[in-house]
Amino acid sequence: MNKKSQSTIMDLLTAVFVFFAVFILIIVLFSTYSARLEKDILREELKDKAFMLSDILLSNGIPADWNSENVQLIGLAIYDKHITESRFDELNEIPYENTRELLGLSGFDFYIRLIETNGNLIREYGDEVTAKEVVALRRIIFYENSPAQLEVRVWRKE
Amino acid sequence: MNLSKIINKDKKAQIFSIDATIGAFLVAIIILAFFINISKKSESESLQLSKVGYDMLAILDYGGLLANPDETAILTKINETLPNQYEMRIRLEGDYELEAGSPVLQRFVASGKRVFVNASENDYGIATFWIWLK
Repeated sequence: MNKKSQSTIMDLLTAVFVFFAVFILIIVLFSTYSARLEKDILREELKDKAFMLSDILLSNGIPADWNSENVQLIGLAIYDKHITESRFDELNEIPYENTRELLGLSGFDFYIRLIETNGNLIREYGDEVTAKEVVALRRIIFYENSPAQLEVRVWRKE
Repeated sequence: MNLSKIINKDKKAQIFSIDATIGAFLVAIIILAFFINISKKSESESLQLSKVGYDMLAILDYGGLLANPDETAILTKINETLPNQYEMRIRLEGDYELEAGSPVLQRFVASGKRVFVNASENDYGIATFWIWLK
Protein backbone atom coordinates (compact mmCIF):
# COMPACT_ATOMS: atom_id res chain seq x y z
CA MET A 1 0.00 0.00 0.00
CA ASN A 2 2.78 2.44 1.01
CA LYS A 3 4.88 1.51 -1.99
CA LYS A 4 1.94 2.14 -4.31
CA SER A 5 1.34 5.67 -2.96
CA GLN A 6 5.08 6.46 -3.22
CA SER A 7 5.11 5.45 -6.85
CA THR A 8 1.99 7.56 -7.50
CA ILE A 9 3.68 10.62 -5.96
CA MET A 10 6.83 9.99 -8.00
CA ASP A 11 4.64 9.68 -11.06
CA LEU A 12 2.91 12.95 -10.24
CA LEU A 13 6.18 14.77 -9.58
CA THR A 14 7.66 13.51 -12.85
CA ALA A 15 4.51 14.53 -14.74
CA VAL A 16 4.54 18.02 -13.13
CA PHE A 17 8.25 18.42 -13.92
CA VAL A 18 7.79 17.34 -17.53
CA PHE A 19 4.74 19.60 -17.87
CA PHE A 20 6.59 22.66 -16.60
CA ALA A 21 9.69 21.89 -18.64
CA VAL A 22 7.61 21.64 -21.82
CA PHE A 23 5.54 24.68 -20.84
CA ILE A 24 8.66 26.82 -20.28
CA LEU A 25 10.18 25.54 -23.54
CA ILE A 26 7.04 26.51 -25.44
CA ILE A 27 6.94 29.97 -23.83
CA VAL A 28 10.61 30.58 -24.66
CA LEU A 29 10.17 29.37 -28.25
CA PHE A 30 7.03 31.44 -28.65
CA SER A 31 8.59 34.68 -27.40
CA THR A 32 11.72 34.13 -29.51
CA TYR A 33 9.57 33.39 -32.52
CA SER A 34 7.31 36.43 -31.91
CA ALA A 35 10.29 38.79 -31.75
CA ARG A 36 11.75 37.25 -34.87
CA LEU A 37 8.41 37.38 -36.67
CA GLU A 38 8.01 41.06 -35.84
CA LYS A 39 11.47 41.77 -37.24
CA ASP A 40 10.74 39.70 -40.35
CA ILE A 41 7.46 41.54 -40.94
CA LEU A 42 9.25 44.90 -40.75
CA ARG A 43 11.99 43.66 -43.06
CA GLU A 44 9.48 42.31 -45.60
CA GLU A 45 7.59 45.60 -45.48
CA LEU A 46 10.82 47.51 -46.13
CA LYS A 47 11.69 45.17 -49.00
CA ASP A 48 8.24 45.69 -50.54
CA LYS A 49 8.71 49.45 -50.29
CA ALA A 50 12.22 49.22 -51.77
CA PHE A 51 11.00 47.11 -54.72
CA MET A 52 8.08 49.47 -55.26
CA LEU A 53 10.39 52.49 -55.11
CA SER A 54 12.85 51.00 -57.63
CA ASP A 55 10.00 50.07 -60.00
CA ILE A 56 8.46 53.54 -59.77
CA LEU A 57 11.80 55.23 -60.35
CA LEU A 58 12.42 53.06 -63.41
CA SER A 59 9.10 54.10 -64.94
CA ASN A 60 8.42 57.17 -67.12
CA GLY A 61 6.52 58.98 -64.43
CA ILE A 62 3.23 60.85 -64.81
CA PRO A 63 2.90 62.94 -66.91
CA ALA A 64 5.45 61.36 -69.24
CA ASP A 65 7.26 64.70 -69.65
CA TRP A 66 6.93 65.70 -66.00
CA ASN A 67 8.86 68.46 -64.33
CA SER A 68 9.13 69.60 -60.73
CA GLU A 69 6.04 71.82 -61.15
CA ASN A 70 3.53 69.35 -62.63
CA VAL A 71 4.78 65.95 -61.44
CA GLN A 72 2.21 63.41 -60.23
CA LEU A 73 4.43 60.33 -60.21
CA ILE A 74 8.22 60.50 -60.21
CA GLY A 75 9.84 58.24 -62.80
CA LEU A 76 13.44 58.77 -63.79
CA ALA A 77 13.47 56.70 -66.99
CA ILE A 78 12.71 58.23 -70.36
CA TYR A 79 12.19 54.68 -71.60
CA ASP A 80 12.93 51.13 -70.39
CA LYS A 81 15.67 51.52 -67.72
CA HIS A 82 17.22 54.59 -69.39
CA ILE A 83 17.70 57.34 -66.82
CA THR A 84 18.82 60.80 -67.90
CA GLU A 85 20.64 63.59 -66.13
CA SER A 86 17.79 66.03 -66.83
CA ARG A 87 15.30 63.76 -65.03
CA PHE A 88 17.56 63.60 -62.00
CA ASP A 89 17.94 67.41 -62.11
CA GLU A 90 14.14 67.73 -61.98
CA LEU A 91 14.04 65.33 -59.04
CA ASN A 92 16.56 67.49 -57.19
CA GLU A 93 14.20 70.45 -57.58
CA ILE A 94 11.48 68.68 -55.58
CA PRO A 95 11.72 68.97 -51.78
CA TYR A 96 12.35 65.66 -50.00
CA GLU A 97 9.04 65.68 -48.08
CA ASN A 98 7.05 66.15 -51.30
CA THR A 99 9.00 63.40 -53.04
CA ARG A 100 8.26 61.03 -50.18
CA GLU A 101 4.54 61.69 -50.50
CA LEU A 102 4.62 61.35 -54.29
CA LEU A 103 6.43 58.02 -53.98
CA GLY A 104 3.89 56.71 -51.46
CA LEU A 105 6.48 56.41 -48.70
CA SER A 106 4.71 58.12 -45.80
CA GLY A 107 6.12 56.74 -42.59
CA PHE A 108 9.38 55.78 -44.27
CA ASP A 109 12.61 57.50 -45.23
CA PHE A 110 14.63 56.76 -48.33
CA TYR A 111 17.90 57.43 -50.08
CA ILE A 112 18.60 57.04 -53.80
CA ARG A 113 21.93 57.01 -55.54
CA LEU A 114 23.27 56.31 -58.98
CA ILE A 115 26.65 54.66 -59.16
CA GLU A 116 28.93 53.66 -61.99
CA THR A 117 29.63 49.96 -62.49
CA ASN A 118 33.01 50.47 -60.78
CA GLY A 119 31.26 51.89 -57.71
CA ASN A 120 31.89 55.64 -58.23
CA LEU A 121 29.03 57.87 -57.16
CA ILE A 122 27.21 59.70 -59.97
CA ARG A 123 24.18 61.30 -58.32
CA GLU A 124 22.34 61.01 -55.02
CA TYR A 125 19.10 62.15 -53.45
CA GLY A 126 17.51 61.75 -50.04
CA ASP A 127 18.20 61.51 -46.36
CA GLU A 128 21.10 60.12 -44.38
CA VAL A 129 20.37 56.63 -43.07
CA THR A 130 19.25 56.99 -39.45
CA ALA A 131 17.81 53.57 -38.66
CA LYS A 132 19.40 50.25 -37.77
CA GLU A 133 17.03 48.24 -39.95
CA VAL A 134 17.61 49.35 -43.54
CA VAL A 135 16.83 47.56 -46.78
CA ALA A 136 18.98 48.36 -49.80
CA LEU A 137 18.57 47.02 -53.28
CA ARG A 138 20.26 47.65 -56.57
CA ARG A 139 18.99 47.66 -60.12
CA ILE A 140 21.07 47.73 -63.27
CA ILE A 141 20.15 50.65 -65.50
CA PHE A 142 21.45 52.95 -68.21
CA TYR A 143 22.51 56.42 -67.13
CA GLU A 144 23.08 58.67 -70.12
CA ASN A 145 23.30 55.49 -72.21
CA SER A 146 26.04 53.89 -70.10
CA PRO A 147 25.40 50.93 -67.78
CA ALA A 148 25.15 52.00 -64.15
CA GLN A 149 23.40 50.96 -60.96
CA LEU A 150 20.47 52.52 -59.17
CA GLU A 151 20.57 51.87 -55.44
CA VAL A 152 17.60 52.55 -53.20
CA ARG A 153 17.61 52.36 -49.42
CA VAL A 154 14.45 52.42 -47.35
CA TRP A 155 13.91 52.47 -43.61
CA ARG A 156 11.12 53.26 -41.20
CA LYS A 157 10.89 56.92 -40.14
CA GLU A 158 11.93 57.40 -36.52
CA MET B 1 -7.35 -13.07 -9.28
CA ASN B 2 -3.65 -12.87 -10.00
CA LEU B 3 -4.28 -13.00 -13.71
CA SER B 4 -6.72 -10.07 -13.60
CA LYS B 5 -4.14 -8.02 -11.64
CA ILE B 6 -1.54 -8.74 -14.28
CA ILE B 7 -3.98 -7.73 -17.07
CA ASN B 8 -4.85 -4.48 -15.26
CA LYS B 9 -1.17 -3.67 -14.76
CA ASP B 10 -0.52 -4.26 -18.47
CA LYS B 11 -3.40 -1.94 -19.44
CA LYS B 12 -2.05 0.80 -17.14
CA ALA B 13 1.35 0.51 -18.75
CA GLN B 14 -0.21 0.76 -22.17
CA ILE B 15 -2.06 3.94 -21.22
CA PHE B 16 1.17 5.54 -19.93
CA SER B 17 2.95 4.60 -23.15
CA ILE B 18 0.21 6.06 -25.36
CA ASP B 19 0.15 9.19 -23.20
CA ALA B 20 3.90 9.60 -23.46
CA THR B 21 3.86 8.99 -27.22
CA ILE B 22 1.11 11.56 -27.81
CA GLY B 23 2.93 14.07 -25.60
CA ALA B 24 6.25 13.55 -27.37
CA PHE B 25 4.52 13.78 -30.74
CA LEU B 26 2.92 17.13 -29.87
CA VAL B 27 6.18 18.58 -28.56
CA ALA B 28 8.01 17.37 -31.66
CA ILE B 29 5.42 19.05 -33.92
CA ILE B 30 5.73 22.37 -32.06
CA ILE B 31 9.53 22.33 -32.19
CA LEU B 32 9.56 21.27 -35.85
CA ALA B 33 7.07 24.02 -36.82
CA PHE B 34 9.27 26.56 -35.03
CA PHE B 35 12.45 25.55 -36.81
CA ILE B 36 10.80 25.23 -40.22
CA ASN B 37 9.41 28.75 -39.88
CA ILE B 38 12.60 30.42 -38.77
CA SER B 39 14.69 28.74 -41.44
CA LYS B 40 12.32 29.66 -44.28
CA LYS B 41 14.03 31.66 -47.03
CA SER B 42 12.47 34.94 -47.95
CA GLU B 43 10.77 35.16 -51.36
CA SER B 44 12.04 38.69 -51.80
CA GLU B 45 15.58 37.35 -52.11
CA SER B 46 14.61 35.47 -55.25
CA LEU B 47 12.68 38.53 -56.49
CA GLN B 48 15.82 40.66 -56.14
CA LEU B 49 17.80 38.06 -58.08
CA SER B 50 15.15 37.92 -60.83
CA LYS B 51 15.03 41.70 -61.16
CA VAL B 52 18.80 41.93 -61.53
CA GLY B 53 18.65 39.10 -64.11
CA TYR B 54 15.96 40.85 -66.15
CA ASP B 55 17.87 44.15 -65.90
CA MET B 56 21.01 42.43 -67.16
CA LEU B 57 19.18 40.93 -70.15
CA ALA B 58 17.79 44.40 -70.97
CA ILE B 59 21.32 45.84 -70.86
CA LEU B 60 22.55 43.11 -73.22
CA ASP B 61 19.53 43.57 -75.50
CA TYR B 62 19.91 47.36 -75.79
CA GLY B 63 23.62 46.85 -76.39
CA GLY B 64 22.69 44.64 -79.39
CA LEU B 65 24.42 41.64 -77.85
CA LEU B 66 21.40 39.35 -77.92
CA ALA B 67 20.60 39.89 -81.60
CA ASN B 68 24.26 39.57 -82.66
CA PRO B 69 25.62 37.09 -80.19
CA ASP B 70 29.30 36.99 -79.45
CA GLU B 71 30.16 34.93 -76.39
CA THR B 72 33.25 36.98 -75.51
CA ALA B 73 31.42 40.30 -75.84
CA ILE B 74 28.51 39.00 -73.74
CA LEU B 75 30.81 37.75 -71.00
CA THR B 76 32.77 41.01 -70.98
CA LYS B 77 29.56 43.02 -70.64
CA ILE B 78 28.27 40.78 -67.84
CA ASN B 79 31.57 41.05 -65.97
CA GLU B 80 31.61 44.84 -66.37
CA THR B 81 28.02 45.42 -65.39
CA LEU B 82 26.79 42.74 -63.02
CA PRO B 83 27.36 43.57 -59.32
CA ASN B 84 30.14 41.48 -57.79
CA GLN B 85 27.94 39.39 -55.51
CA TYR B 86 26.11 37.75 -58.42
CA GLU B 87 26.95 35.12 -60.99
CA MET B 88 24.95 34.53 -64.12
CA ARG B 89 24.53 32.21 -67.05
CA ILE B 90 22.53 32.96 -70.17
CA ARG B 91 21.25 30.90 -73.09
CA LEU B 92 20.18 32.39 -76.42
CA GLU B 93 17.85 30.49 -78.72
CA GLY B 94 16.83 31.60 -82.17
CA ASP B 95 18.48 30.79 -85.49
CA TYR B 96 21.44 29.88 -83.31
CA GLU B 97 22.04 28.54 -79.84
CA LEU B 98 24.58 29.94 -77.45
CA GLU B 99 25.27 29.50 -73.75
CA ALA B 100 27.58 31.80 -71.85
CA GLY B 101 28.55 32.36 -68.25
CA SER B 102 29.46 30.34 -65.21
CA PRO B 103 28.06 26.84 -64.77
CA VAL B 104 25.09 26.73 -62.41
CA LEU B 105 26.40 25.20 -59.20
CA GLN B 106 24.21 26.79 -56.56
CA ARG B 107 20.99 25.39 -55.19
CA PHE B 108 19.22 28.75 -54.95
CA VAL B 109 18.93 30.08 -58.49
CA ALA B 110 16.49 32.54 -60.05
CA SER B 111 15.73 32.41 -63.74
CA GLY B 112 13.68 34.20 -66.36
CA LYS B 113 13.28 34.81 -70.09
CA ARG B 114 13.26 37.77 -72.44
CA VAL B 115 12.11 37.76 -76.05
CA PHE B 116 14.33 39.88 -78.25
CA VAL B 117 14.04 41.04 -81.84
CA ASN B 118 16.73 40.46 -84.40
CA ALA B 119 15.80 43.25 -86.83
CA SER B 120 18.45 42.44 -89.44
CA GLU B 121 17.27 38.83 -89.74
CA ASN B 122 13.60 39.82 -89.36
CA ASP B 123 13.37 37.20 -86.64
CA TYR B 124 13.12 36.89 -82.89
CA GLY B 125 14.88 34.84 -80.26
CA ILE B 126 14.53 33.92 -76.61
CA ALA B 127 17.12 34.70 -73.96
CA THR B 128 17.03 32.72 -70.73
CA PHE B 129 19.04 33.64 -67.65
CA TRP B 130 20.01 31.89 -64.44
CA ILE B 131 21.35 34.06 -61.67
CA TRP B 132 22.56 33.28 -58.15
CA LEU B 133 24.58 34.72 -55.32
CA LYS B 134 28.28 33.86 -55.28
